[in-house]
Order: sequence, then structure tokens, then C-alpha cells
Amino acid sequence: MNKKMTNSGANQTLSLLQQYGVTDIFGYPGGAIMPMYDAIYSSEITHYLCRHEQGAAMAAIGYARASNKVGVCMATSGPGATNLITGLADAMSDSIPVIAITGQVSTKAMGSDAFQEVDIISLSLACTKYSFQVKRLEDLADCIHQAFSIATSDRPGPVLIDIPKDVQVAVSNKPLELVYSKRHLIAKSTPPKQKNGINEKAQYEKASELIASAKKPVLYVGGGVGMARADEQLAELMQLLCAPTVATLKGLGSVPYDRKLYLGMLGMHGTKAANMAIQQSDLLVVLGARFDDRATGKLNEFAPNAKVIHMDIDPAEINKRRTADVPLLGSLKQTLATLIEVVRENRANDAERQEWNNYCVSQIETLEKSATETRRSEEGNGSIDSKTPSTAVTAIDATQLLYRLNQFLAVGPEMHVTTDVGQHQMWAAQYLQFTRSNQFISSCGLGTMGFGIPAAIGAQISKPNSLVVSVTGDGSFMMNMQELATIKRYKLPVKILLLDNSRLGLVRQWQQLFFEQRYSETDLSDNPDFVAIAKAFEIDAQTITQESEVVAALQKMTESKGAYLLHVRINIFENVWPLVPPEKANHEMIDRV
Amino acid sequence: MSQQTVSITAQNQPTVLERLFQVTRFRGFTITGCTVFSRQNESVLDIELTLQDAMDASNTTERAIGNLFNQLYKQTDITTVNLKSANLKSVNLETCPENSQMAHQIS
Repeated sequence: MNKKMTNSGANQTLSLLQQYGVTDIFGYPGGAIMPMYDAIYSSEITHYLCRHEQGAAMAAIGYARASNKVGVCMATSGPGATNLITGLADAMSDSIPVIAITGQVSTKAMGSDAFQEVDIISLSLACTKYSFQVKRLEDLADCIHQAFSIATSDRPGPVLIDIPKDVQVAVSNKPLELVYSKRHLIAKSTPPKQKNGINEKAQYEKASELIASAKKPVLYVGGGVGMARADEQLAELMQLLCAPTVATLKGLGSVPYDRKLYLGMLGMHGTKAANMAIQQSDLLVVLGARFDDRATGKLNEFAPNAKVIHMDIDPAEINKRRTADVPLLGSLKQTLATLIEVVRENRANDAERQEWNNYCVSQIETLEKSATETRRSEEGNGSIDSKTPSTAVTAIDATQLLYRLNQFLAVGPEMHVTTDVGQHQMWAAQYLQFTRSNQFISSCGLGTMGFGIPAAIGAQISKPNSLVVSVTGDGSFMMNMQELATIKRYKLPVKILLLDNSRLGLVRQWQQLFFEQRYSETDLSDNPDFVAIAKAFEIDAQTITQESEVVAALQKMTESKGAYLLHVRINIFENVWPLVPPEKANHEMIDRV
Repeated sequence: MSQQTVSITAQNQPTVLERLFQVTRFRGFTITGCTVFSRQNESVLDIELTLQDAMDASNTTERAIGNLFNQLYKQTDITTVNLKSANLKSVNLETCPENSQMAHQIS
């Protein structure tokens, strides 16, 4: 190591990251971040070169989701920094702890419209929990400490640290220490501000009374359960309450798919059983969820008869979209444990609930069975509408293929599935079977196409022994397919399952159903040869077009030692069902048109 | 349309005002007046915002102001948020029981 650089800002930054347990960084070099890259050259931290800064940010998200660690990404000033923005917005929306480090032009040049200068602090304010600009070397350690504290405390989220080039090269005479921020110490020594004055015990007792008196309770599980690592507490509460349970998109996996009384996902493309149970319930126990519009449908008709116990770490989510009768604030690991204790002493009349539970179970059995049969018999014929070209129909049903994928995913010790955004994402949510939080890694809040492949890269790096499958569509795949080079570079055994309908499928579906079949700019039939693209990156690949090929192809993909791309031609006009139409209540969901 | 005045104390960090304005706009309010004074060697800012909201039928003023309070209050550098006066008949405190500090400080 260059001795002159030992105590430079760049080296200090890396040393501090190491002290916070950072072992991996995703990034892309450039002019204003060169001192950091010079330090990385001899650092113990492994840097993963992505081929676009957006890929680096999303790899950091995938890394954080799969490992429950902080994801770190890095980019240069100007365009490098702006390319991180979509990833930061994604992390903000899904509450993912990510630290983004950006280079900046030297402090003397700042504000002069210098080459590759952009005001990334201002640009980042709406998509980070906090943004730091380190203008003096002596502030560096404090900023990094605060950044980790802010990113991981309360509701997690992304934090940006912008470091001008002269601060990166500046050398300190002082020995490097892990300096604790005065502000942080103040924050730690006082109770969280949202809890001031709340009589917590009374709130829990009120919650317990509501639970005991409810005749049709439903547990509504969001992504907060996985974020809080509260799977065990959730399982205990489910056992105690013996109540029907539904999950949001981000909550998938927190309840094992085969758990008794689990009704599946709620919302626009959720199960009818989940939506109907919610609509009829008299009590929702909401765990780490935020009543997202895709989950609630028409809000003022959502669960019209239900009282609400809302458990969340973020006080700003309480009463934001649905008034809570009892808010319980804090990390779910603690609040669920407290609720379990209180509820245990105040047991409900189980016999009264049995009828409700039986009803919900019968709904999931009959409705799902009938939906599957309908899908098979009608959509398999491709007879969706008069504009369906007969040549577009193939024998491969994407939903059945995903259902079959489960048997191959369950084989290994660990698995993670990432998705992009669109029809394939909803089918994956509906048909794949998860047993733990964070096995399903998707862009849930922001809905970012291009998320799946870089997220899979991050997940695979954090979990080298996991079977990581990225389910994608032909539209999304092309938004970050440059990251195939990252898969090649690090020999990552990521499997890519590309469901190709030569369309922007979900937009096309809405055009078909709600825009009079005016298919504006959703035809992607001029897509490139995806197998040839994969092979150009030395990734083994094949295309399948027939149902008879599915099982062998899935087996080949999942058993492949290295990366693999399975390109599946699916029916152009296959739709995602069931569906809550726009501006409709969830009980108005339709099986099909 | 209704108008209210919000008093905020915040740590004087470089982004605090910009973030305050951004959150206020994003959560549906227009700033029609603003005063800022610093104290304690310029380390603390006392900020007073006059706000207007343009609510539609689906989003009541009570819910909107409660949402704004909560969103401002969770910002790292903001230490207190205080609804100093309002043209509202009343702010229904039951709509935001989670933020009792806000309730205590409403005058």
C-alpha cells in the first residue's frame, strides 16, 4: 500500500466501512471517485464492478435483501451519481438499508458547473433518508457513522455520502478512530420521539381486547416482518390467534405458503380468497404494511367493517391511508413479542372463530381450484380476443411453468428469487412457493423494470450457496442486460428465466382491458435473439417453445453449475388473473373478462 | 383551502431547509410564508412556515395535516413540529394518536 495514502480520506472511508462490517461494494469508477478506487485497489473489501451505476445500486439492494446487511454502492460524480438515483428511489420505497458513496468535484470547483459536476445532494433528497456532503476530512468519520445509523435505524432506507475529490485525497495526521457522533449519542440517550407520552401498556391491552372480541379477524402481513426478522414471532402469533392470514407483495414468504389458514397475497392480483376475507373481516391486524394502493384497491371501500390494529416501525404510516383504532409502534420483533404476551392472557372464544376459519379455507380451496381450471381450459386456447393472432399462441403456459419451477427450487439448502416488473412478477408472486422472508426479492413499491438481474447479482454474492433465479420478462430484461457482463466477470451461477411474450405484457393487458385494445408502443416483436446475447457473455442458454420441453429445461437450468438463461416463448395474450380493475374495490375483483 | 402556521425547530444542517420544503410540497402544501432564525451559535434553527393546502374530497385536511406532521417529524434534523395556529375548526387528535408530541404541542 502506498504509505502516503494510508490515512487519506479514501482509505479512512474504506477502513470505516470495514469497521461496520462491509465486505462487498458494488460500483463503477470515474474521475471524481478515482482516489477511492485507488484505495480499493489494495483494500480487503471486495469491489464488484457492475456495468452501469443503476446496476450497482440495484445489486446493493439485492445484497441487502438477501443478507439483511447494509448494501453499499459507489459511483463517480455527475452522471455516475445520477445513474444511482433510480436505485436509491427503489430502496427508499422498499425501505432497504443502502449506503451510496459518490465522488464529487473538488471543493474549490464546487458550484462552478465543473466537468461532471451535478448537485447530487439536491437530487437525492426525495429518494434518501438522508444525504451527507463531506466537505472536510475531519467530518468524514462522523458522517459515515451517522449514515450507518440512519440507514439501519427505525424504518431502514438509503443514505447518500457525497465526498469531494480533494477530501478523498486529503491526509489526516490523527490516528483513525471509529468516532461516535455527538448527535447519535443524543439520539440514543433519549426515547424515540414518536413514543413520547404514549401509554403503551394500555394500547396493547386495547389491542388484545379487540382481538378477543373479533369474530372475523385477519392478519395482514407486510414487508416489515422480514425487515425486522420477526418470522418466528409472526408464526407464534398465527398459532395463538389461529386467524386467516394474507400477505402483501413484499410480505411474501414471511408466512410459509403451505401454512394452514394462509390465504395468499391480497390486492390487485392477489387471491380472491385473500381479498374476500379482508372485505368481510371485522378486525385487521396489520403487521409492517402501509395500505399500499395496489393492496387496498378503492380505499374507502377497503375492509369496510374492520377495526384496525396497525403495528409498524414508522409513525408516519399510521393513519396515512387508513385510520388505526390501535397503533402499536416499534420494531415488530419487540412489538409482536409484547402483543403475544398480552394476547396469551386474554384468549378469544376459539369456537366462534371456527366457522370463519372454515369459510376462509373453503374459499381458498374452491376459488383457486376453479381459477386454475378456467385458466387451463380457456387461456390455453389463446381465445382471449379477436385481435389475437393465431400464430401467437404457444403451448407454454407461464403460470404452469412457474408452478413447476417450485419443485426445482425446493431441492437445495437455500434459494432466492428476484423479479423484474410486469406480468412475470405477478405470476411469480402468485405461483412460486416461499417459506421464509426475503426469499422473494422484487421491486415492490417503486416497480422498477431492470431490477431483477442486478438484484440477483447482489443476492448471489451475499449468498454464494443459494440457488438464485431471476424471473424476468423481455421488456425488463433489456433495461439492465449489460449486467450479464457482471455475471460473466465474477462467474456468478445466477439463473435467468426469461418469459418472453414479445410485449410489454402488463401494459398490453391494460390496453386490452381498459384502453379499447389500442396497443400503443407495447409490441416488442423486434426483440433481439436473447440466447445469442447470453452466449455473447459466455452464459449458457436455450429457448423453449413447447410445453413438452418445460420440465427438462427447468431441470437443466436449475442444475446448471454456472449461469444460465432459459428463454421461454409464452402466449402473447396471456393475462394476469384475477384482477381488481382500476378504481374498483377489492371485492369487485374479476377472474377474467 | 385552509391555512395554518407550523413552527419547527431543527438542527442547522446544510440540507435541512431544502428537505423541509421538499417534504412540505410533496405532501400537498404550498408555502406562503417562511421565517427562519438561528440560535445557540447558529446550531439550531427556529422555522415558522405558513401553509396552504388544496384538498380534494378524498383527502381531508385533518388527515393531510396529520400526514405532514408525521412526515416532517421523522426527518433526521427536525426535532419539534408545532401547529401554532389554524383556521381549522379543530384538528382531530384522534386521527394521529401515534404522535402525541404533536398533540401536546398543538395550541
